[in-house]
Amino acid sequence: MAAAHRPAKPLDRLLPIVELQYVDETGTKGATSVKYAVDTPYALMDAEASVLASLIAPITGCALVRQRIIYKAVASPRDVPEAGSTIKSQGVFFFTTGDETPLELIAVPGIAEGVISDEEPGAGVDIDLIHTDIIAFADAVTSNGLTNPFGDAITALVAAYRQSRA
Amino acid sequence: MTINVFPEDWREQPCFLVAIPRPLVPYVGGLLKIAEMRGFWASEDDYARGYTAITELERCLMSTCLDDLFQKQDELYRLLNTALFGVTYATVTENPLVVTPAIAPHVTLDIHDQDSIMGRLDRLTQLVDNRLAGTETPLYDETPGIKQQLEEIIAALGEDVDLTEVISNLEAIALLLA
Repeated sequence: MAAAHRPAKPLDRLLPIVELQYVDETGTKGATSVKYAVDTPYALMDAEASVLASLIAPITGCALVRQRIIYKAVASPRDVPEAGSTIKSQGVFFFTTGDETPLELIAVPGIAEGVISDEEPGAGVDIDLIHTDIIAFADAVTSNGLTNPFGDAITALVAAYRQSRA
Repeated sequence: MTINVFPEDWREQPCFLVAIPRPLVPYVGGLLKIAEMRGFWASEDDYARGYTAITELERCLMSTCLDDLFQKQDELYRLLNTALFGVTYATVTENPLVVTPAIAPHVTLDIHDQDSIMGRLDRLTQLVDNRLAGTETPLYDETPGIKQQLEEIIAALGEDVDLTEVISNLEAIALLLA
């Protein structure tokens, strides 16, 4: 996807993390985190997380509630935000996943004013769905195997507008 | 503890229409974010149903559902106005939708096309007026009318009459009725 006015900078990859989250009898949660080498594949970490959980089980009184595998990358140095950009002003994109399955919603923080529609009745709130950058974004989302929270593949962008999200 | 449940039959339940001022839409939509989260719902099933409903609602916030509704209403109005009175509409632009002529605050009984329903009724009325009563109308001007011709025949039958003329008048009536 081409970013016309703000090309994305490559990010520095950090060590992937396996996190096992536990809960005690009061409902309080805590986690065990372990790190792996940068190029460790997901399948290996997933398998080893299960092994790790089985080894921890005998030595904790808490119950395992969640396992997370986190791949992180960070901008270093950070890019400079545009003047006036605001995280809360988010572009929310609604994608269909089929006639009988739930929509997927993707929020973009600090949506650029340049992609906000000036056509009535949605002027200032609607996102311009025929803006070239929006078309490129939507094409990328619909053609890269992304899904809604229930695993239904995204098929098409159907609506987008600005929301104020904390 | 999360206690938010969502009914299985939510699609069968009544819906309520709420008009939200445009400047308020971003905030109303943003406030619904919490209901997109798994943790907001009591179970996986509640989450699936609640997520589906809330994202559909969010989508509707700016799909200008009211405008869609009004647009369908306008389309129905134009359908009736064309069918009844023969008004011809043209789409100037698709997005935003601009159709001319604009919908007027009120409708007159003017007929814009004789092939409309009212136009055809008007044509029939004029035809009957002209053919039977002999009244000149904008579309028909045949004279004399059937009524007058019949009166003439009846009057003639009481006199010493030439039947050829009577038959000729009857043939003229037959032609008018054809």
